[in-house]
Parts: sequence; C-alpha cells; structure tokens
Amino acid sequence: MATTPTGLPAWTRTATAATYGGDTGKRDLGGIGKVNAKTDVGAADWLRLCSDCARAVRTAPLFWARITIAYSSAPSVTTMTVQPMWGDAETYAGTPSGDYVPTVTVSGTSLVLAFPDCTETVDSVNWLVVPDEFGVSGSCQMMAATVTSPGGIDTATISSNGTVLTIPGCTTDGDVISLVVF
Amino acid sequence: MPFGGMAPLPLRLGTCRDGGMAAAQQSRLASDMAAADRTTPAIRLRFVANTSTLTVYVTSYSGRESSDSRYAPLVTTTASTITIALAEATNAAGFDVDVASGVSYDWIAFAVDVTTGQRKPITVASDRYTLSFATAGAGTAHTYDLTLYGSYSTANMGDYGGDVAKRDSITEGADTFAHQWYRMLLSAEGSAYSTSDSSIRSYELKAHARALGTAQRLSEMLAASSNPGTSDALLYRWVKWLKVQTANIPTWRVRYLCELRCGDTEAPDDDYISAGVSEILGPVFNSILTNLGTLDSPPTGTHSVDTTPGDTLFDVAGTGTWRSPRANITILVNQGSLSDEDLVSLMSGEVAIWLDNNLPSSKTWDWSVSTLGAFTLGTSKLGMAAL
Repeated sequence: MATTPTGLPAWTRTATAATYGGDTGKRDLGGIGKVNAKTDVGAADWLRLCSDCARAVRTAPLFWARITIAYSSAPSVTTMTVQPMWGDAETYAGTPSGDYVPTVTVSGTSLVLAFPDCTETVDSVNWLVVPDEFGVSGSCQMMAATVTSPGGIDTATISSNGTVLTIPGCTTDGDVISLVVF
Repeated sequence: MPFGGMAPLPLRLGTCRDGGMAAAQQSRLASDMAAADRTTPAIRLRFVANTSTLTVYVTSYSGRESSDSRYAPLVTTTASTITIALAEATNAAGFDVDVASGVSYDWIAFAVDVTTGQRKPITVASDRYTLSFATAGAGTAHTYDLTLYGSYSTANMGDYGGDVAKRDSITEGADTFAHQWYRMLLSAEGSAYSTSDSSIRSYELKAHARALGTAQRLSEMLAASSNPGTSDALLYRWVKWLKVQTANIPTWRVRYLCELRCGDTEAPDDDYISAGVSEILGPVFNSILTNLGTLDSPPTGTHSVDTTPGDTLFDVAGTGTWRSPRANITILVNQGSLSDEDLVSLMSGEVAIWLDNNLPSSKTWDWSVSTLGAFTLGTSKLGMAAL
C-alpha cells in the first residue's frame, strides 16, 4: 500500500520544517544526545536538514529549459530540453510525450509554452496541477521567468493566470534560448 | 523515529513522545529534496574582469560541490570577450561536467554585468563546455554574475531512502530497542549505583543498551530479509535469484519488482486476484470481469485443449479432457492521463508478472479483441500447476 506523504508537493511552496518532521519541539530520545557521532543523528541535525529543505523548495525554479529554434518564415523548435521539479529532464521537438512538460506552439514570431494537459481552472483561476511520485497533486503557477539567447532574446511574458509563457522575437535561425521559470 | 544517542542509525520511522519522524514525513522530505535538486542552480559565480589588465578575480563562488572559489570554473578575459571553461580538467575536483567520460549534460547559463545591470547574451562553443560573452568594452573593470543550471544529477527520492510504500516501524518507531534496554537496565539497578545521567555507570549502561539494541535489530533484519519487499541487506541476492533488471531503476522500485516476482502464498481466489491487480494499478484500475467456464464448455477465448482453441500440448489426458474449471479474466482500466508507454509497462510488465505468479497462467495477451476497450488475459494453463 502506498504511503501518503504529509503536506503538498514542493512546487506548491507550502512546506515548512514541520512538514518533514522538523517541528521546533523535537528533542533527542530520553534527553540523551549523540553517543557516537559516526552512527547517530541528533534532533538538532534533523531540524537543520528539515529547515534547509523547506527553504530550498520555496525558491527552487519550477523548471528550466533550453530551446533551439530554427527560423525561416516563422520560428520552429528543433530541440527542447526541459528539467522540471517534478520529474526527469525530457528532450523533444515540440510535442512532449508526457502531460507535465510544456507544449510549444508558434504565434507569429513568438513561441508559446503551455501545459494544456495539466492546466485546471478553479473559480476562474488557472493552475498547473501536477502529481508527485505518490500521486499527491499540487497546484502552482509560473510567477517569473528569466530568458536569454545569443540572438538577443531577453524577454518572456507570463499570462496573468500563470499558466502560459510567451517568448517574442524568435527570428534568429539557430538561436538557443535559455529559460528559467520560477 | 526518535533521535539522539538511544536512536543510532539506521533511523527507524515513527512518532513518539520526543517527536520522531513518521514515514509520511520522510516520504515528503525525500520527494521534495529530489524536486529541489532537479532545478536549483549548479553554480553561482561572481567575478571582476578587468579588460585593461586582462585579469579576472573570482570574488565569490557557490557550487553544488563546494563554495570554495578554488573550484570555480576558469574565467579568462580579453578586451572584448569573457570566456568561462566548465571542463573538469580546469577545475580539479570541481564542477561535475565529465568531459573524460564523454557524458554530455544539458545546461543553461545566465550572465549579468552587475556594474551596468545588463544581461549578457551567452555563446556556447561546440564542445558544450565553454561559454563566452562580450565584455563591457576595453579598458574597464566590471563585476559579473554567472548562474548556471544543469542536469547535474538525476535526482530521485530513492537517493534519500524514499519509497512509495514506506511505513512506520512497529517495533522501534515509538521507542528504540536501545532505549527500551536502557530503561530496563536502569530499573534493574535501582539505586545500587549512581543514577546521575552523567555518571560513569550511566555511560556503561548506555553502552550495554546500545549493544543489546543492535543485537535485537539484527534478528529483525534477518526476518525482514526473508522477504524481498522488506529486505535491504540481502536485496542483491533477491535480485539475482529472481532475475530482476536493475539498470537505471531506483532501489525502491527494484524491491517492488522483486516482491511482484516472489510467489505469494495466499490462495488466489477472485477477491485476492482483484485486490492484487487493484493495488498494482492504483487509480488506473477499474474492475475485473471473471468469466468462469466448466470442464466441458470453457468460456470463449480460453485457449486450452484441442476441443477448444488451443494447443494439444495442454491436453491433459489425451482425450480432450481438462481437469479443472477454465476461466478467463478481463481487466478493465481507466487510462486517464497515464501515457500509453506507462500503461503498457504496467499491464504487460507488473500485472503480467504478478498474475503469472499467482494464477499461474500462460500470458496470452490480446489488446485488440475486446469490445470493452480493455484487453483479455487468456488463462490457458489455469490449474495445470495443481495437477
């Protein structure tokens, strides 16, 4: 039978140290600290690990991507590598095999990244809903993006509902776009 | 899982008066650690490049392997171009871009001229390990920030002991063996010796308690190793005996595959088969339709003796007689958002292995015959093993 972990997946940014068992009242069993530093883990060690993990998941990017484009009359994606928080890196040309990495479409000279298979609308607000290894789903939105390329691309805009990202000005043949989304 | 001197490694999951750590919390920690590890930067580097003297000073460095600036990538500058070499050869034990092994890591980088606030477009050389960008111009000293993200590792929750079936320890989760022994020893001695927690006698008792607790753990470990689902120390032997593939598979999944291949001892009635398949498939599972025939008229699609579709090899008595009821089952699944690849892996892999062990059956799969949008598992050898 599968375990149901506490809390929600990392991309919801809701974890605290207590989510991992690092509540501030944690103490060593029987009040006896580490007897052997090579074999023991103390409550203080554990609190630091839990606290730092919570800090890391709050600020780690949702995903980073490397996009190589070709341009003739319109841009097209030749290869795209995406490394999301929720799984292994995937490389594809525009249509991913899974539901949880972005599709890329062309709109004029812009590339549009979206997650049509995992976007859900709740009370008119769109969310990316992605499960973790245990089947626990967590909602998130793209909040900020940093982009650059040798061809001069330095702007990416995210839709107001945080589920669609647009990179304009993709007109340099062979340009390689580096993208980080938080 | 309590902490401290009376709870030496390995940590046992569970909660207790002192707080402890439950399996659910450890699962979230392992999953989140992997999630954060996948996307956090590989290195962050700040340096000053002087295009007049053509010198570079690294002012701060923070990488996955170290924050020691000696491990920073090699940065050089000309009047017009700054070049950063990520190759391992230039970093000693530094950044883990393994040029020697020929492994190519995908990565991206950002550079900012801190002095002017301008982001610098980066050019990547064909070797994939050298990047460069334009300086602010000749005869100037500017500070630059570089951030590099990369597929530095293939983080998996299994790396942190994560397992989808992790559970609390019923023996030590709330109170460890060592602590139980310590309390017993203290109680047995009463006031015969000093009861001070910092006395020599106290440390003797702690040492005794830990030794006794370790011995008690060993007996539990031996019992756990008798089942591949709970074995750790002997998992490699289970893998060998059961011929389970382990390449690129997390340990928790290897353990799971071993457990699937290990024959179960419970009688495989309909309820048991349904529950087993349901557990393997999880939310994908819908239901199982069992079509039970008789000796003389097996259900359509059952491949057994020559009086029904099948091979005479399975004709038990040479007269077309079959010695047990024959059946086939139809497994209905809801694919949902599961990819075709994952569904096939589940059905043709894990479900097939488990059914083959528990029915047993010869695996006659048909993904296309069913009008129900499902597939049929023919059970032509059903009962053969019992004859």
